[in-house]
Amino acid sequence: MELFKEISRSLKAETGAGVSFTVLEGGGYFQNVKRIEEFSSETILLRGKKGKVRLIGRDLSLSKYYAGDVAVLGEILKVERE
Amino acid sequence: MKMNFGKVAFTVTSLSCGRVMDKLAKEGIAVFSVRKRGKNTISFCVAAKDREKVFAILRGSCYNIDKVRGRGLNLFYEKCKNAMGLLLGALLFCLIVLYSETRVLKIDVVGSGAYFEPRILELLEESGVKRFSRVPADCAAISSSILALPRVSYCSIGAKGGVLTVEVRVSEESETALSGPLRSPATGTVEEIFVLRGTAAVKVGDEVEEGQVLVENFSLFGEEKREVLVIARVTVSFPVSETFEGSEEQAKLSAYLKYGTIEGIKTEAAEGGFLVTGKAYQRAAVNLS
Repeated sequence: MELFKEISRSLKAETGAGVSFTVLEGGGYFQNVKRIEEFSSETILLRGKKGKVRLIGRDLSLSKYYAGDVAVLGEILKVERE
Repeated sequence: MKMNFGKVAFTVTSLSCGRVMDKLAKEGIAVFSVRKRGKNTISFCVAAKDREKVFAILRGSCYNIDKVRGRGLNLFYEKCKNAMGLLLGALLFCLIVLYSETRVLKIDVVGSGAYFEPRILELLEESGVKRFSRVPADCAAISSSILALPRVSYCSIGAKGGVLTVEVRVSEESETALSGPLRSPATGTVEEIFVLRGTAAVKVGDEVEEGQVLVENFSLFGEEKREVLVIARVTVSFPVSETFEGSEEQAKLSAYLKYGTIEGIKTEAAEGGFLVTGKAYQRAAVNLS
């Protein structure tokens, strides 16, 4: 998504390193995911090139996982960087 | 034959479910609808074209592929493949039904003129309509021949579901029907006897005298004899042996004029003209054309 790059540039943040994400009601979209370390309907742990992101929620599932992009469906209650 | 459209759903058991998805993603396979089904079990979908690749990537003891199922169109295709016999049977049934709609499977003669059924079946057969023949497209010619039967005032022919229904009604107010038995028109041999109503007193091949009763005007209903209106037709053949004046051709013409068709006609010069010999036919009918 070019939108993430634009947002990162405006925030002067480093792009293409850690997992970038956006969370909406009903799910979230995550980029630069290298690996899925944990997966369950309550917790998903995504590892990027730098750092990890933990999702905590209810009835979580992956709608799509391809080329480093992960679309998560479900009720995301918390997103933590590790 | 594999259908490479739609999606295929996999259910995989593994100690590290996350690694399953990582392995597939690393090989360029998009994974959809990933859900945790149990402690070590996940389900996911891939495009049908990647089905074989998934098996190749997950080959090994670390991953157990428990179930593989088509999704969407792929599932529909799989179900059709498993029920191919049923589908072919259903198709064959539809084709047979459609074909039989165009064929006569049964002929019903109904109405007050239903006693003409044998004659009507004859007329239908003359027009090429019989069991398993095509349903007639144009019934006008057949209807007109049925309407020519005595006292028939109405005729309709309809076909539905392979049954050809001929409705015939007779008029009660038409000219008075002839009563009495059918008598022989000539002295000779019975060639044909057709009885719709009445009792035949002779059979084909019998020698009869002119005026002899050939069809009685009664019918047996159980043990009871009841008077009925005779509806019958008979053809009697008889020998011809007559001298006609004039030339041979003129003698033959005169003989045809007098007797109609003469079978095996022969001529012989005789005193006063030519002797014509052969076999002629005389037809008589009561209440039947």
